[in-house]
Amino acid sequence: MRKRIEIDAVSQLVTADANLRLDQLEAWLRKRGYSLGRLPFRNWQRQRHRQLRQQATLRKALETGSAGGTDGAGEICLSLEIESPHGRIQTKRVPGSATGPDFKKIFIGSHGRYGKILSATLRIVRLPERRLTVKARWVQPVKSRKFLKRLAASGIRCSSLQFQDRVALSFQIEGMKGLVAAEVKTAKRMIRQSGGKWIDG
Amino acid sequence: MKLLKHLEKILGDRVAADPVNRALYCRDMMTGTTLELKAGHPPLLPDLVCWPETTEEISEILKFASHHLVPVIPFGGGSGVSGGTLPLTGGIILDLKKMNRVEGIKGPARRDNGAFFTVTAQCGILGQHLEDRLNEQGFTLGHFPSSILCATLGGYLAARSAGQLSSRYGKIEDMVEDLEAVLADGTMVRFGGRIKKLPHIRPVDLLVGAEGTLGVISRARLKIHPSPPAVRYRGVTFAKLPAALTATREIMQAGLRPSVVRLYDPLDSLLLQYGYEDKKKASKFPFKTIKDNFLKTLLLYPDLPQRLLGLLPTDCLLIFGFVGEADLIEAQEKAALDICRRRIARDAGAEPGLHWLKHRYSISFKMPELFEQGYFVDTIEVAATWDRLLPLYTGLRRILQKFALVLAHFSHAYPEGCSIYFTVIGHTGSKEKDCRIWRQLWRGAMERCLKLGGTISHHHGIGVLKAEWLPRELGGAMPFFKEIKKKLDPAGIMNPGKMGL
Repeated sequence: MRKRIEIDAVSQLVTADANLRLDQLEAWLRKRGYSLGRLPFRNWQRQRHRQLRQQATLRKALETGSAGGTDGAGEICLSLEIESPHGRIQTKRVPGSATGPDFKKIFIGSHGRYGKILSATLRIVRLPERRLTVKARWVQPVKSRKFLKRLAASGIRCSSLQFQDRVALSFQIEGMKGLVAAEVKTAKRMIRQSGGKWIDG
Repeated sequence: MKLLKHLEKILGDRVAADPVNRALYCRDMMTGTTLELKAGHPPLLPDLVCWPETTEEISEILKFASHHLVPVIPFGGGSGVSGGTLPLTGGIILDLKKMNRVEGIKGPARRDNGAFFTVTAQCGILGQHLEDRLNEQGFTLGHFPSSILCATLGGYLAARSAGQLSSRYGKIEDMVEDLEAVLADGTMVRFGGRIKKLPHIRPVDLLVGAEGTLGVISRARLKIHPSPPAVRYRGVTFAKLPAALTATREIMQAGLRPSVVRLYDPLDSLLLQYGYEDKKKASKFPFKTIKDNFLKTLLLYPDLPQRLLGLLPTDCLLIFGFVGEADLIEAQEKAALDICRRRIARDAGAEPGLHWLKHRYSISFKMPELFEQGYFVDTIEVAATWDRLLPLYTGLRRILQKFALVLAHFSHAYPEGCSIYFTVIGHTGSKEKDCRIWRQLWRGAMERCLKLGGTISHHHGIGVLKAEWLPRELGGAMPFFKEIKKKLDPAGIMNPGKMGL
């Protein structure tokens, strides 16, 4: 049976059958110039067992993910269709609301306790024109912490932030070419001003 | 009275049952209540008002109330506009404003998309006071609703509010990490804790947005941000609304993350232009020069004049803003301007944005003046994904302008959609008719919104005002909501009569 995938290019959303594998969905989107983004389903991306990684379905990722935080499947999930003991539930396909608790957050991470996820509408992004990795090192942890605080207020959209030994960090910046260049330039300046050293490569 | 005596044992002199205090807490800012009171309808009064100072005191009050089946209504600033704190069946108003401490700031904690910081605060703190305390330490919550001067953190969380910079910082539910609450039977749920009857659901996911129907939120931990070093604002005008909406969508989908995005429809743009372009022009502003009687006559038949105004070649004004490092936000602003120019826009400079920034809170405080002059005013906030947004705007405008003058702007933009904020100003000449027309206007708007796939509330909440339509909004989730309510509040004492529960 064909699994449903529908794209809404105007709203940049994809609605997909929950039985679809994540890698299948991502491949389908990439053929059309889109992506799920930073893949907040990173628990599955980090899965060492290749087979398990490749077999992760959208349902599994949502039912075992968390609704909040940057690791959360909830971060990119706009709405869900669920088969519950009360019948079929279709949470509203709207960007934001104030209509009681956000019920999709209750179903995400519930391990199927309150119902089976049948399909999900997810936010998608255009494939980035450019992706760069920023690496830097400081002598003292206090200076790297100051940089982190400044980074949080800077407007730079970073992802995959990693820290080593409290004095070295790396993060990725991706998006439109011109914007990425501006963000990298700003990041370099901030690193220099905070007493850090930009690491090439 | 037994209730008063028991609460005095818990709270001392922080309880009141006198007529003045009871009258003060008979309402929030819902327009319908104002109209009914002006028409001489008697107010709904609570039995008494109390001011707890700790989570433990709230627990004692709720234990007593649930045992004696006394309704309890949590109350913050009373700035809600959906009747969320109306004491429909009397009971105890739990005014939380004495719980107003900021308890500490922590961070940075490192996450995938950068460092973040948190603040823990009691939920009775006024929004502006919280923001002031954070600013002193070099931080911001990033939450700036127009009610910031008279709304509390608890009220924000109860209603799932949105601030004017939500496009950058998110809604309140995106900011809250964890909370402490008291359930109907007095059980305290601490940070990191779980509710015994629903152990697999995070309390924060249940209680945020529940408008006090499932428990009382007493403290919260929220993400905060270092104050940005620089801000920039820009105004751009478009000849046609569809082109302006497309440009707005493209800005959001380019990954630009502006802090502010506000697109005014043609009529709202026309009125705004007189406000900021020139003080002399402002004094010639139609509402100042046209006599009051003429405007009121016009509002008796609002549809035709607005259809005619809609034929005028009036520009739409888009305001956007960025916060962050000065050189970066200059580049982001340029990228946004380039997107707008591709849709044939005229650069109006920084002035429109700066004017909005200066007056963004004062507009709400002009409403009482209009009520005094015999008008009624209300706001309707809906939202939809981009594919449904223009039909939603057109459909709602068409129905609302049959009843009142309609101004509208698009704000709280997301990559996948946007909210529409309608302001309606009406006049019928009769106080009873004002009440009737107001109810018809809301009925028409809610029915049309549901039909066109929008949400009936983006950030004002449901209360009593929209309760009738919540089952259709939630669909299959409504029975689930009712089941949760039965589990957590079997006696039905928590804010009864709200949200269709």
